[in-house]
Amino acid sequence: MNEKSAAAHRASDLDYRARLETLLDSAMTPAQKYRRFAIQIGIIAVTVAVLYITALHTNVSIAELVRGIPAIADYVSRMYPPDWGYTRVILEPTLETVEIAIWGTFLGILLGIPLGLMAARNISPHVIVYASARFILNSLRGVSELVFALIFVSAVGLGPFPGILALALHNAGMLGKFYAEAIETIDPGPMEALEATGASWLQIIAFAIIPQVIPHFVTYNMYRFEVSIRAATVLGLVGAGGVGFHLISSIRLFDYRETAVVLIVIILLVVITDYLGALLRAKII
Amino acid sequence: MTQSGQAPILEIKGLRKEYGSTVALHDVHLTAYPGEFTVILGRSGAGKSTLMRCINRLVTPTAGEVRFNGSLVTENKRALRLHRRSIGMIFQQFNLVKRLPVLKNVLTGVLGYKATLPAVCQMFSREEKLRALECLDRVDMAHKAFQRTDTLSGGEQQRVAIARALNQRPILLLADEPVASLDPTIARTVLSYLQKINEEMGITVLLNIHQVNYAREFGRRIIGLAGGVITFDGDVSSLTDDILSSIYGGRPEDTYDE
Ligand SMILES: Nc1ncnc2c1ncn2[C@@H]1O[C@H](COP(=O)(O)OP(=O)(O)O)[C@@H](O)[C@H]1O
Ligand SMILES: [Mg+2]
Repeated sequence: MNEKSAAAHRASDLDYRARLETLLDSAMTPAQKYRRFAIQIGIIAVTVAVLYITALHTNVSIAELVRGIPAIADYVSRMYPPDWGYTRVILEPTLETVEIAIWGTFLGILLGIPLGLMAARNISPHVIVYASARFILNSLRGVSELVFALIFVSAVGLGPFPGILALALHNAGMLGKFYAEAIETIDPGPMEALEATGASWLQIIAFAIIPQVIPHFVTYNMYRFEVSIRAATVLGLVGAGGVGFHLISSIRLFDYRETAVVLIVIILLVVITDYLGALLRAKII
Repeated sequence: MTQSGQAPILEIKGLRKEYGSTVALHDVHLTAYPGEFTVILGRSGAGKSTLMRCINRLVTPTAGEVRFNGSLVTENKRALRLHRRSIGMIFQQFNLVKRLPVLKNVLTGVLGYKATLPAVCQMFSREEKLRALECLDRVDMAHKAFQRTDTLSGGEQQRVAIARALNQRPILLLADEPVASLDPTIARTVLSYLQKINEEMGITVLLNIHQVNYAREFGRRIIGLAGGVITFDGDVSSLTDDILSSIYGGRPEDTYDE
């Protein structure tokens, strides 16, 4: 540095350096510094303690896992070769699984949109609306699709329809929360600009919010569709339709080679969904 | 203002950049010497940003070469990191992390000198913090060091961005329309800090700008860029209205800011 007039700026100038040090130290008093340090140590200690205690209670044990490896390997080896003839049997139930996932996601989106709009703090029309929407979303999310399925099976009978309803409710809870959070992180500038033009609530949503959240919206929906496919495969367990019934019965009857086919088909489904989702996202975002 | 006898800090030869069918730069030749304050003047879309970004390789040129401080700027990762850390860049939109405190933003200026791990863990030494404060003090922003960056005004944020660039210990400063989103008074303040840094610290400055009045006030050497071609390169005193209309292709008055 070839300084001419800025002698005061040189860090080697002791006075100047002292002033900078004072400034730096003024950012936090020693008490504040120790407090921050104590809080950090506290967080680490609590995390380690929680992990340790819960591991004791739930018998998390690497030794057990290692000892179990031969049994797992044995199970997998019995799946080979897969019984490809079984594919014909599960073709229709698999299709039904996809149909359940499609409708479960679609209805979930329809229900999730209004709930998400009302549960986004920055655009919710009123605190009471906001609080109620949050409560509904939490309840929907808190109950697993399997529990919903049990309830709906006893209400409307066996078959895919109770499965669709169960997925729709759980999806609405998940998606509504995602939408609300996406809306809360948008740039408020355009909203303010539209508000200033005298635009109505719905107009602001249409022009300032939807264009900003579309990429998140598509990503979340695709993700929930993937999860729904996976969830729909076990709905058969409680009689709510789909390929899950065959998965469960083959496992129960120790038909390893049939189980293998069902698993392969399910994995294929998820892979295809992921691929299509990626294509769609690339087009839209 | 060619300072003969000194080795050039920047030598650009036959630089060309195409974006698909758009040719943003045609065969640009440009040499800059240490200590110069050069304004690159041109209307929006002339290729100013592209030229600047070819210098630190945020943009890969289609053809031609850029020599910085004697050595060729290439894609080689290690060499590029060394080049980039001696070239500070200032952007129109400041590009600060708004949620971080001012001092943290300035500290990010030394990342090019640090190993990845301590930097990712946000560990900075007391010495580094003092240096960052000193850089802030050069733009008279030391008193705001511990505030969140988004509490500052636009002009103040741009000064913080200058401090971040200074913390890189650069020998060349690229300023890409640093005042395009600031009002004229604030813009002059920010530009005069660039001028001061050039004069007091001897850092070479390359300034992109589209307003003629700022170019006249702050530039010593002016380079006129139009349609990706250099149409003028000379001292600010020889910048006539004829030359201006060759740069702007119309009445230059349209581009005065006030
Ligand atoms: N990433 C890009 N993709 C396509 N065209 C671009 C891109 N960046 C710049 N251009 C085009 O290159 C030309 C020069 O742009 P730029 O260097 O940004 O000009 P300036 O900074 O002078 O306004 C313009 O025509 C612009 O549209
Ligand atoms: Mg530009």
